[in-house]
Amino acid sequence: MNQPQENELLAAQSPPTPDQSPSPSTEVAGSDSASRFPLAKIREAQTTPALLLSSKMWWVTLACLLLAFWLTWRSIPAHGPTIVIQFPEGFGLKSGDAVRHRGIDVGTVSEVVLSDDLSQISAMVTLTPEAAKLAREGTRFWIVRPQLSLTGVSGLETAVGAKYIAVSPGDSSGAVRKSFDGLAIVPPDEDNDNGIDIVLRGDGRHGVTVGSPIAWRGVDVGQTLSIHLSPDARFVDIHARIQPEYSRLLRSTSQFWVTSGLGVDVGLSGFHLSADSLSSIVRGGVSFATPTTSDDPSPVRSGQMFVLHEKPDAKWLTASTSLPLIDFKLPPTVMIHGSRKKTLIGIPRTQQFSMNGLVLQRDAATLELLTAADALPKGVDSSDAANEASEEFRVESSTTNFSATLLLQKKLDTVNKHAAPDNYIWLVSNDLKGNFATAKSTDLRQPTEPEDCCVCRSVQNDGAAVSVIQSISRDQITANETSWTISLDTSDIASWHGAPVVAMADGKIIGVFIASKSGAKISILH
Amino acid sequence: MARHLSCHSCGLIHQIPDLLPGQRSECTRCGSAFAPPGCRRTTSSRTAAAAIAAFVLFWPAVLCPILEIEKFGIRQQSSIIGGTIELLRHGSWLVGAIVLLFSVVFPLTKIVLLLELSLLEFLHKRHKATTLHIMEHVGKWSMMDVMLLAFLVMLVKLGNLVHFEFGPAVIAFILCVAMSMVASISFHPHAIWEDAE
Repeated sequence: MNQPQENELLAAQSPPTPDQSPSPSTEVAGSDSASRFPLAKIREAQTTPALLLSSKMWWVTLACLLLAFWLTWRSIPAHGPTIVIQFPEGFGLKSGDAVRHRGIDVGTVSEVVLSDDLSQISAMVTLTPEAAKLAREGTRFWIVRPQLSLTGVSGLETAVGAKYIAVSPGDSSGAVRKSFDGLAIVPPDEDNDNGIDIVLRGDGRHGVTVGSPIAWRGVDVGQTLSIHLSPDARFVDIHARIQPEYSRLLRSTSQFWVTSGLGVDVGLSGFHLSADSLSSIVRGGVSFATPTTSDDPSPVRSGQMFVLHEKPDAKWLTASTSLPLIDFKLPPTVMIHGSRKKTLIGIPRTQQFSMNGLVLQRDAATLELLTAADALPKGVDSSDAANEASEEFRVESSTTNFSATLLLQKKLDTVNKHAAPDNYIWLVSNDLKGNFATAKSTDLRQPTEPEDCCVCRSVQNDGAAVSVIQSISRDQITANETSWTISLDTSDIASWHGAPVVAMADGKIIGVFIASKSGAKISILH
Repeated sequence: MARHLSCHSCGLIHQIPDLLPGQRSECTRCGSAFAPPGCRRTTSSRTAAAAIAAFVLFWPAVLCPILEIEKFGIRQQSSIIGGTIELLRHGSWLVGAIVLLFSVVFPLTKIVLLLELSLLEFLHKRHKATTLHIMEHVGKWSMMDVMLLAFLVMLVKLGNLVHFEFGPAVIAFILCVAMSMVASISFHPHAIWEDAE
């Protein structure tokens, strides 16, 4: 409505205006051109990117950009291979549940679906990149669920929480696979990596169940794995596994019998009740013994069959064969009782100490004593040992109960210089003569890496010496440069101080046990 | 030429005298500062920088897992978008829509509009006015910061019941809130009309 008026107003204000809609030709042809052309708008130059980027705030933007990229990159989970596991039963497994190996998550269940024929479930599992090696031939999977039995409770954490899939890795050289068949039950041999598998054939089950203990003199040394009927259905075959550390107890002459239940014997002499452990009452059990025979019993290999007797023969129990758990001779150890005279503010006093040691026959004339370095007082080396005429050692061989008192201080010439207090030393003596059992140089070995070993010493038993050992597993050892720190769960380490450490593999001496206030360690031979 | 500006705080119209370098003009009534002439470049640059930072951080904040809850051994990761979708899927349409609108859509709109106003020179006056209008309305309802408060409440209340950890999105989220605040603070509505005067 206002349009024409506005135009008029504009027309009135503007100075020399031609008519409202002039034709170009008339305009050019018309009067003074300078006043008639419209004045061009003056405008600031466009903001250049350089000017726009002038603010320091752009550095913050850059930082935020980098941060955003980093956060996004980090939250994208690294995926390993995806595998499919078929289970006969799901036990409430859901997507998002974990796959665990040795207590840590190695993958997640991404999907659980029913198979086409409704007889199985398939779980899609995404493994972590580190656990990619699990996707190999021979790996076994099973669903962990709470299991209550009279001998123990397992999988309790899954009673309230989520179920998870447990893994038992197969051979690392196996072929890579994407599809697996899960196990319906927990494999009974999960914890045992190796051992001796045997078959016990009996005429009945006699109360033995899967998981029953196999005992040697009441100590569990194995477990039954499965129970089947023999092919002709006349016998019951019980498959069992003996733990590897006890496999030496098993010989071809070993006799097995059932120890299930309670034995009640009521006679004129009274009432006699015999029972094994509570577990074997409930779950049944098998015991075995290896009686002495005239011929040397041969060791057993996996797969050998034994007869399972219903009752033990009295002879089996009384006839005890010496079946050492170690198959090498323990080195002869000695006790070193020393006394050192000290002068404390002018008052002489004698300090007694004793430690384990080993006498080594270096050559025909030289005997050396291997023991902990603190047998010598601190700061003593070969040069000033002669002045230190206060050291006195008495070496006691426990094999013959022989004692020899001697002074070593004159023969310290070849003692290791600068032996650290937590190291081992060789004390050399030309005098140390007597009826000693000695080790030879060939009994020594320099270990390269932690291995299963045991520390041994002698104890007195009615005047005779008996060797005792404490085994140290490789898992307990932390290797350092010249020593191995060991985590022992016993507080009794002081009595082993200075004792030789023997390798389980070949029986060679590989180091000296050092007990100090900070803990136990092995000073390895070098 | 004297400029006339209304105080952005109390609305009183002032005549702005020509200023020497180092001086600035203030409102006689409330004492708040007027945008100096030529402030367009610096403010828009700063606003754009902050808005871009907020825009970039917005996506990890919304999409990455923000919470990791572990309850009885069940581990759950959830992002803001994932949580909203979960709400909608469970049939809580109202709550889901509110969360989606006020925590995702409005903040994003605000950031984008701020970016548009500060960066683009060639917008038509009418377009600028509309954009500014929308931004002022949307900005009021952009409530990302409220979400932070919700997390804080959860931390205090549920800390003993369940074990939970903040995911990487929390850092992005906090920074995004901070950067969008910086952007709206440094944004000067007067400055965008400077060219048009």
